Amino acid sequence: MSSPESVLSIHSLHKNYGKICAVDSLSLEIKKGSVFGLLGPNGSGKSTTLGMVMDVVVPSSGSFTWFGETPNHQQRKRIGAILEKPNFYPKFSATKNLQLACKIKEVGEERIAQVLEQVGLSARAGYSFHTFSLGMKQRLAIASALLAQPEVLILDEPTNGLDPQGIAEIRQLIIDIAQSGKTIILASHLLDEVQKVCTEIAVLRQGKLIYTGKVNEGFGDEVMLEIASDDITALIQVMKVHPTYLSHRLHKGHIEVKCAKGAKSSELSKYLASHNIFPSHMAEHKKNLEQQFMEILSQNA
Amino acid sequence: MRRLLSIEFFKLKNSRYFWILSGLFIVLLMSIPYTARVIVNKVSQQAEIIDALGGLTLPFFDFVDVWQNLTFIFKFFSIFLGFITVISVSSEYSYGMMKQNVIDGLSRAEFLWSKVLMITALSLVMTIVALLICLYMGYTYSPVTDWTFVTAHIEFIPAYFLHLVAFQLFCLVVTLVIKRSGITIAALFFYVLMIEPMIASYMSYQGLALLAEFLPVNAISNIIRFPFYKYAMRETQTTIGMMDLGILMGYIGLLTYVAHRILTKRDLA
Ligand SMILES: Nc1ncnc2c1ncn2[C@@H]1O[C@H](COP(=O)(O)OP(=O)(O)OP(=O)(O)O)[C@@H](O)[C@H]1O
Ligand SMILES: [Mg+2]
Repeated sequence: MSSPESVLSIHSLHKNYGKICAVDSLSLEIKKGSVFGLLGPNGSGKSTTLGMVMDVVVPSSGSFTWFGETPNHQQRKRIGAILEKPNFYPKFSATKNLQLACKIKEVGEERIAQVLEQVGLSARAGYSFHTFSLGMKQRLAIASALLAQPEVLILDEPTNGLDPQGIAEIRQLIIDIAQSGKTIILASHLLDEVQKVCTEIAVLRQGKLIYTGKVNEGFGDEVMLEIASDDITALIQVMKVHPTYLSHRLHKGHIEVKCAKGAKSSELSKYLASHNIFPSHMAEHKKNLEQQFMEILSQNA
Repeated sequence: MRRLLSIEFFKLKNSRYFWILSGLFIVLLMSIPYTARVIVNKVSQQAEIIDALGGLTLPFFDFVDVWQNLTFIFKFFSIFLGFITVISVSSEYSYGMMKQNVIDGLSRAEFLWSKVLMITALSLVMTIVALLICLYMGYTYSPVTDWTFVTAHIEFIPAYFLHLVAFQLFCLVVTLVIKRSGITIAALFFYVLMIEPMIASYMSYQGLALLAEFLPVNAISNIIRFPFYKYAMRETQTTIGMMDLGILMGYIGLLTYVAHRILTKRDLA
């Protein structure tokens, strides 16, 4: 059963390519207003899943509903999607390509100028798509996805090929859109991207769902510290007897220490100083999504 | 329906190949009467035929004959119209636009209907061009221009329309299977000019001539049968055969069904 709040609900979806099981009995529930990150290593089935819910890939079995209804093409007009790579007619200008999308989506053409402005392509509106750089193509794809002011945005690696400024802009755009109450489904293996914009994540491995949850859940539990000192051996010895110490890893010139919840770098530097150790460098970082991701993957290996 | 046609026409009108191929097609159709006129004059001057006709020129462009004669020759150029379908469908594949159109909110069936509607509309336009050429030639050369005479056997015009639709549907299905324009065009030439004639003559040789009528290109082509035997005083079918029409309509249905099936059951890569 899907609640009225549900935007997309997937029930044991399967996709086989010959012997390869690209998506393996996947069930997911994506709620209205969430920014949902779909994570997983290369070939884990992210794009295949998004392809199936957009009726591009035919599922081997299983089902899904959009907005609580059986899927149909009218719903897709309310969804803006970029799957894998930007698809446009190479010889048509940006404007012509968007005109065609407007016809399909039954949207007024006055939106074209607005979305081109939004992605910073106004100046190139009249140029053929094939003259665009990869980043410009990606921006045009985002513009096209935004045409119908969709309730849901599906983005499969949206910042692929963008320059740092473009990445920052697109991320900001995603955050802005999310704040306007829209639902976003974002597939990526760029974990900091997901961490910056997503509220929930699902992790796929070899087509199987191995984790779902809120992005910040379980984050602050452990504290990671990077400490450098002239005498690493002494540093390790002293750290090992600290009450919050859990484990450490030796790197070139510094150690990475995992401490229990509540450990503070200020308190630790006093503790080290009391043992005559004066670290040349000390930095605290929260366990990031990447580490969490790696952990989830290795736990389920 | 208007929407689907306008989507498809938007794609075509912004593509150069469409204007080149349809322009070429019309030029070819218009050049036929002229070339035919030259040939007819030459042939008419040959002694035996003059004897046979009692000293007259061949009534090639006369009403009644003109419809079948010209539409029969027009059929040879259908492949150029077919290329529009081949290029239009294969470029949807190569640019990932079939997929993109579906993502944007076109249903797979709507995608097919947009192509089928455009095939029908284009065939209609070209049929009107053919009609005008036939009328022009008829009124220019026919000794009798009595209305009942003019319209007798005008059924070859709708027959030509069905032929164009069916042939383009055939091209559509072949392109959906092969996907790549170059290979599809080569395959079409190879099949139309070599494979099917070989199969057909083998079937006739085996005494299965009737079966050969069911081969696709034969079926699409037989609606307008070879008309020129009559000038050599041999038996000629000068109207549309009901069986030919039946087979052709069967093919139109079958090809549409196959295209629909391919488009709705397959991943759109
Ligand atoms: N058209 C296809 N034919 C055969 N196998 C395919 C096809 N498309 C995908 N696969 C396989 O399905 C699996 C999942 O692929 P998918 O593209 O969904 O992965 P992904 O999670 O999007 O990976 P990436 O991060 O590299 O984009 C892979 O093993 C892939 O090889
Ligand atoms: Mg992918």
